[in-house]
Amino acid sequence: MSTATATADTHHDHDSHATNTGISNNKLAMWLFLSTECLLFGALISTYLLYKTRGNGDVLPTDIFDIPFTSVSSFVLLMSSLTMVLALSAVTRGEMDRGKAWLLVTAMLGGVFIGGQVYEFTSFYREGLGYTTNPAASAFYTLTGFHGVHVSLGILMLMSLWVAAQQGKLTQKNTETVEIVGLYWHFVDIVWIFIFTVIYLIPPA
Amino acid sequence: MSEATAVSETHDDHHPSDWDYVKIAGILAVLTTIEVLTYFESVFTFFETRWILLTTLFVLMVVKFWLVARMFMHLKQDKPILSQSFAAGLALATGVYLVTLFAFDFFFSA
Amino acid sequence: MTITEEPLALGSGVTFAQRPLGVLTRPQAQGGWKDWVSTVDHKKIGIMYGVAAMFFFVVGGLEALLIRTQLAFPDQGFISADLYNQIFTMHGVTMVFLFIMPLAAAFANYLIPLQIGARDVAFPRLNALSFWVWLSGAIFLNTSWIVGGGGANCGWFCYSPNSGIVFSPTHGVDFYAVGLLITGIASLVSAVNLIVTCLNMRAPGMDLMRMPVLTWMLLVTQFLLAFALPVITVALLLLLFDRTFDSQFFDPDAGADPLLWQHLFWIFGHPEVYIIILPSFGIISEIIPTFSRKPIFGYTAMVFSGIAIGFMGWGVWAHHMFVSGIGPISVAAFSMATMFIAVPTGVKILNWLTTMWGGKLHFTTAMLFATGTVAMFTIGGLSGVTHSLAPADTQQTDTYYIVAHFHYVIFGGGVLGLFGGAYFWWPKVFGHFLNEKRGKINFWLMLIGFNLTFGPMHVLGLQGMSRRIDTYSAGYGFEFWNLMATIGSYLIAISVVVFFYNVWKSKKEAVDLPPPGPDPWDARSLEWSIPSPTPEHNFDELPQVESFDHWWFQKYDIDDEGKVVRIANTDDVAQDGSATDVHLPSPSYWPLVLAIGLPLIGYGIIFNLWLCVLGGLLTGGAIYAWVLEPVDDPDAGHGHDDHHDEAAELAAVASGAGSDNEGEG
Repeated sequence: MSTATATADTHHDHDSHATNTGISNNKLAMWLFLSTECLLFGALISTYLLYKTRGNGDVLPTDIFDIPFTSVSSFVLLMSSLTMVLALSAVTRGEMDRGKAWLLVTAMLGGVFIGGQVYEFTSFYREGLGYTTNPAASAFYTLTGFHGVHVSLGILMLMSLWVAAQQGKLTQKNTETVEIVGLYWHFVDIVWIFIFTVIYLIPPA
Repeated sequence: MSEATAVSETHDDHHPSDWDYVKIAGILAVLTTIEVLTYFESVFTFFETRWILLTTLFVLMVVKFWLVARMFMHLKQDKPILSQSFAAGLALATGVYLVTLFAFDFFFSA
Repeated sequence: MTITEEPLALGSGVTFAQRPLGVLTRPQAQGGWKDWVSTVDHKKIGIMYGVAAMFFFVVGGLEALLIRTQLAFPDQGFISADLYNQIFTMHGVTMVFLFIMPLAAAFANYLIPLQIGARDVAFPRLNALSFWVWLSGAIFLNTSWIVGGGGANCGWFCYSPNSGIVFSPTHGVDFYAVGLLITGIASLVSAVNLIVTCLNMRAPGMDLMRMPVLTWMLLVTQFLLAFALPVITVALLLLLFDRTFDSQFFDPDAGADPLLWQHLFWIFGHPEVYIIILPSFGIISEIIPTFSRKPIFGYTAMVFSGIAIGFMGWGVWAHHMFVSGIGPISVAAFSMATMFIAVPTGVKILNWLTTMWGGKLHFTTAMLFATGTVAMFTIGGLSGVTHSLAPADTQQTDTYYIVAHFHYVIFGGGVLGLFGGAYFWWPKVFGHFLNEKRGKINFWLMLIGFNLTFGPMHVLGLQGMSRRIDTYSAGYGFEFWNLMATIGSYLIAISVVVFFYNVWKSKKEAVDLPPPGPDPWDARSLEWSIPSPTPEHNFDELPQVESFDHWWFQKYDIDDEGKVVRIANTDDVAQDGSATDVHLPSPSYWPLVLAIGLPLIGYGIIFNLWLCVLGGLLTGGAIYAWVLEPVDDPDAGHGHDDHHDEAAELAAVASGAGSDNEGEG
């Protein structure tokens, strides 16, 4: 990494906006933050994988997964990445009305995903899988709950952008702000791509 | 509708069009469909063979992950340092947690 | 949809609000306490980090003295076994998280922008946030003595199931978990901030491979922090959930595996060792060349060995767990990896020695501390290699031999170097020297006391004396060396008193002494090209860097015969600090307000969830106000010289603090 960045771009006149890497501070910070998040989710995923068969005689998450249902909500989250990138694309072109619409759709798709998660948790609880039932249950709820919290924060940020745009405070100049929130949103999505396969789709041996 | 502005000057080269994004989403949708089909082992009996199932799922997962990071998160157009720093976190996480699970006999149960 | 174009247009596009929540008008005052609590100046934040760290050094030191007093003689009942457990736990936690890390952060904050030729860090308000959040977490952690029924009593690594509610029924462990989560948020924010600073804010010509070794080591440290803290965050959350919400992560009866804690803790814990030691390595890499009158030997090797230590530090964590039954393959692999990590460390030691070789050595106090660091760290490193041999380690585990080893590394390698750095940069920070004579007394007392304290522990450990035991019986041959260690610990305490006396007395004497000038040590890096103490705007104009050791080459050149010749007087080439129209980021109260909210959430989790609501409102309100408040105060407006994008800065806070936060709440 060191040698790559050593080629600092040098054509910054008086403008201190130019940075050594050519990437704005905010965007670089967001990417660094996302790469640290890999370690966070990695720990939670490993914890679940280690404990997924440890039911202590009670029901396991893998016993009661509703794959068709989770597939639909996963697909909703995946498509919210498309609407997010369309929102950014519209804002980049200065089409604020279209951008706002896509931001709102993205937030709503995220909301649908969270709703699905609430439904899933409720039905699992009814089937006897409480948070304290066994290590597998604790690990499952903590992992997916953490992801849910991340999605919820993303929705909050998207709605803040939408409100700011509605008040005329978010304009084409702020493309990068939308882009950075988008980065966070896509990251939450790719974490779920991983969780969906590794936690849900791979059946117990 | 392409008003070049100060903000977009860092990456205004070869940005995909909206239609490109839709196409990528289409690919993602198809891949997800294949993933979900593995659940119906009774219909697609070859997924009962575990290594075929696992290989399929992992390849699809990596491709989906890669597509979103590369295209939707614009790593393809952006400076390499962003890809590198993200790859560093990802590789580090993969490495330490695989070793941890290995130490717990997760992969080869005795 | 029409909005007026502001000259200071912000990325977020949020309009300016001087009082976003109707309270706390943006501070404008210079000087006074308001200046300190609202500052976003990296130098003031660095000083505050240093002062607070030294306060906790005293706290942790008093705890150490209690331990050593209890162990001075056999069969003593000076403190009870339970209290002893709490004291050694809090000693470790305090020294690691509340003293060495923030003291290193003090150097990082103060020096990174100066060494790379920048006016401030990339995100000044996030920098203030890091400090206040860290301080609130540190205070929170120590309030467990008062309101938590005593400190944590599970050792700084807090192994489960000992940390569970059954074996640790007081709130001590809860305070440990939440306190370290809060300080972790601070370190993570600070790490991202400083990495971006190093990568993005360098002066023209300051390529990465022209950065001083200190900046490089601090950069590696920040990467380690950024990647290690999420792991401990997860571990602490699992522990907290186990204790608070009855989850089943570490309960063996329920089928859980307590070893999971050990893995997660040490995946964080071993990089943490390098987080502690690398800043000190960087500091002595500045001091030794300066007082050897030679450039650092093998700059590239120095940088890359630091990076290599950073990488390899991730592959050795299980050597803390050789006796926990992780299996022969894991033991063999981690044993090998541990031996390999001695290689880059050895490279560093050889490079320091070859830097001194043939140099004109000036043994100032700073230089004494630096050479002391090299010598003491070498001893600690060598005893570390003996642990890498798993069969030997099986004998040494949980004995005083381990205690001796890690104190030689952390105190001998880390703390001595940081003290050296204090003597070295004191004139730059405060505009006057620390007295050299008292400094040398400070050094020798500390070095002798240190060796007298921890040297005998090697013997005690090999004799079989266990760690963490509150007393020992007479007749095992432990008496003499324990007494020596206790005497040594009081010598260290006296040396620290000498340091504080030196700080106080030197300031009083300074009025009668000539000021140090910009470059009192005839040093090499950019911070010495500006006045002492550093002016608020750092550089009058950003330097145009042409080589490594750029500042030194302003003063000297090498002639055709390879001899060093002076080409300019220091005062002629140094900046005079007279620039007046430099636009600086405006101060803000919101980092402090946000930081006050977090411990309230912590108390809420432990005692009463309603407090969480209060803390959450305070934190949330502060974030909201933070977004609405521009980075740059238009009333204090100068030019267009700043570039901090609000919303993304906030997004980083919201998601960074938030993810940890929400998990707690």
